[in-house]
Amino acid sequence: MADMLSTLSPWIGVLVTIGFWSYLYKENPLFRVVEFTFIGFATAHATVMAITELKKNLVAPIVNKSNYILLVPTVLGLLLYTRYSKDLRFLERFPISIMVGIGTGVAVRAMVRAQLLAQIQQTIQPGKPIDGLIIALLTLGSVTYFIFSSEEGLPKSTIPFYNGLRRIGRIAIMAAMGAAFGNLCVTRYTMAISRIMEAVKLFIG
Amino acid sequence: MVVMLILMIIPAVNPLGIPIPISDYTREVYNYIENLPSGSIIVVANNVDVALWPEEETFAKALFWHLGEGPHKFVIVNFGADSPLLISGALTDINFEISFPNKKYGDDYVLMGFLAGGETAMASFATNPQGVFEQDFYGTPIEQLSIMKELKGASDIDLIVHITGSDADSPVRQWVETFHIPYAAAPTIGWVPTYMPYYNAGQLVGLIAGVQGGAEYELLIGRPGSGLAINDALSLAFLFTILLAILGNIDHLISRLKGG
Amino acid sequence: MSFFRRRELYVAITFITGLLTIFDYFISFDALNNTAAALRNWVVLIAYFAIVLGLVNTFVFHGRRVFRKGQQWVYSAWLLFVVVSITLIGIFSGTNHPIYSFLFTNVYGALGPSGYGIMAFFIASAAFRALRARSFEALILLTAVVFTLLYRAPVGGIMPFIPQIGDWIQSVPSAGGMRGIIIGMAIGAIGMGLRTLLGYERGYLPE
Repeated sequence: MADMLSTLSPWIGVLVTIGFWSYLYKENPLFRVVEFTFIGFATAHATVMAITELKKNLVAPIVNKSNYILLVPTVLGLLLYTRYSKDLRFLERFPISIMVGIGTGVAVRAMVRAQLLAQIQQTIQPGKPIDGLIIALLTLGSVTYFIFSSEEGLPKSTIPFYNGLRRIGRIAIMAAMGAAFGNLCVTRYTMAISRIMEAVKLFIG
Repeated sequence: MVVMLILMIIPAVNPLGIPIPISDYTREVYNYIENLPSGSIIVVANNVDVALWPEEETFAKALFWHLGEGPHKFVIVNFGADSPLLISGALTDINFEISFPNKKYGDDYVLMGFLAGGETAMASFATNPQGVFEQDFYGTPIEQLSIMKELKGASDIDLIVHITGSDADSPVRQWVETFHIPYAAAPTIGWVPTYMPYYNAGQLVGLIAGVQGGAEYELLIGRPGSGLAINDALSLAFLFTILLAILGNIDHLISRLKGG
Repeated sequence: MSFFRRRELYVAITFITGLLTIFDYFISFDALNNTAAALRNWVVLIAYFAIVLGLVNTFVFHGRRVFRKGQQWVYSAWLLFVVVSITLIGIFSGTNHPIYSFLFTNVYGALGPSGYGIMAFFIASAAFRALRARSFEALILLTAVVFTLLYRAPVGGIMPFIPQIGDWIQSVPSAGGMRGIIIGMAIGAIGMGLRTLLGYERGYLPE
């Protein structure tokens, strides 16, 4: 059985890849089957992992250690499923409001230091002066471009300076997006190459 | 598309052996681990999914080789549903148990399960690593894992190496700024631009850029592997893409000159 | 019961839990810190239920399609078969069972990268058609793409000046632009977070 599986395994991978990549020619039933298999497997695997962790981290402490306080998150979790009942669906708001409250609190409390102060400090106190000046200008420009959408309320004399800063911001964002696109290419190509290498290993060895 | 396919196949059949320079930010991660005192606890945090795994697999295996050979302990924590099996597979692929018989599971390293909840899970883990898990990935109660007894809070974590396929904001907010844990990121290359500002601000001890960083790390630990072969194919694919971009612009210029 | 239907109750819950979490960061007080830590652990547990909710939703959506023989119902039936079989194998045999490991590594492990990898061919097509320097900003974009690709390709490491230029692009203009984006996003996110906690934004509450 193990021998059969190990012989079969590279073939399955290659067939799956051919199925997915058949879309490059045109959409076809094989591609659809493979696509729906992916969605199904992803959903199933996430569910299996979640149920496994619930058994370990929720059921086991309640049953083995009599940690009955964990019945509270159990009830809250089960309330998520009241969405399917017309009369009880309002109860779903309990767990959602708790999750949103805690999630927002956790994110917002550290955001000022992590993403504002540390970044602004690095912009005004860089290690290298010339590069630092360029980064400061580009940062100021892109923040201006993002946040200030109109010239209304600005003194007329500052408008050319403001427009210049916005233009610099656009250039900075274009550079950042270009670098991001270039880096994204690497990820996509790596996935394609990894699949091709599997096929090469299978046919050529 | 056929040309692209051929260019990707050539190095797979016949590796070109193009040398790769080692970037400073990869070397900083390596040096940081090397300079940690013996017995330090490193948390290897993962939230990479199966689709992005080929890019992170190279570094993950190189990191486990490095940690296996070193005097440190490590705890593997997963923030993605796919991660536990991927990491378990990586440890099996390098025959970790056989290759490093001096590393005892439970005492020197452990694979914990999957923590759902994203940023909240990251905060929960850093607050109380023992409290958030009852059992490890294999179902062993946490009381039987001596390494977890040493991990009472964030101050017991000497370094987090984060193998990830997502952005920098959440881990920097929680682990770096809230709990002040030294943090090295290993994102897929697509996310590297979002990590650079944090790296430049000194919030990261180092950065491993996807498969390229993984190949560099393989060279640093003296175990060149699959990362180098993939990088050969990437070279050809990128040169072809640049050629296409140049041809496209020449075509555009000709159209403009003709049409006005 | 009508009290529990009022949205104000849930806005208050969001406010209280959010405030508790924020105060936990600034104030060192055992009762507060322990309560906040416990609530965070509970959110992790509730998140597992939310993941399983995805399975239920999948069943409802695709089950309806199969039942009504809607568009592409055959594929939906196949999807449900995959979901049920993998879930049952995983729960009853465990994720460490050889069959589950085999399916995970060879089927799922091939599906994911194949799906992402198909984009490589579209990127090549986009490079010819879309990466055209129609304006100065587009030229900046194109330059950044070209030098980033050369920088990331090992062959770029042996070309003169490419590593230095690529490194400079990553560390200076790209980082400057990204930093501006991070700061802008942080300001927006803080504003949105405060609006959510104070009850001005209620979109997260289901009807």
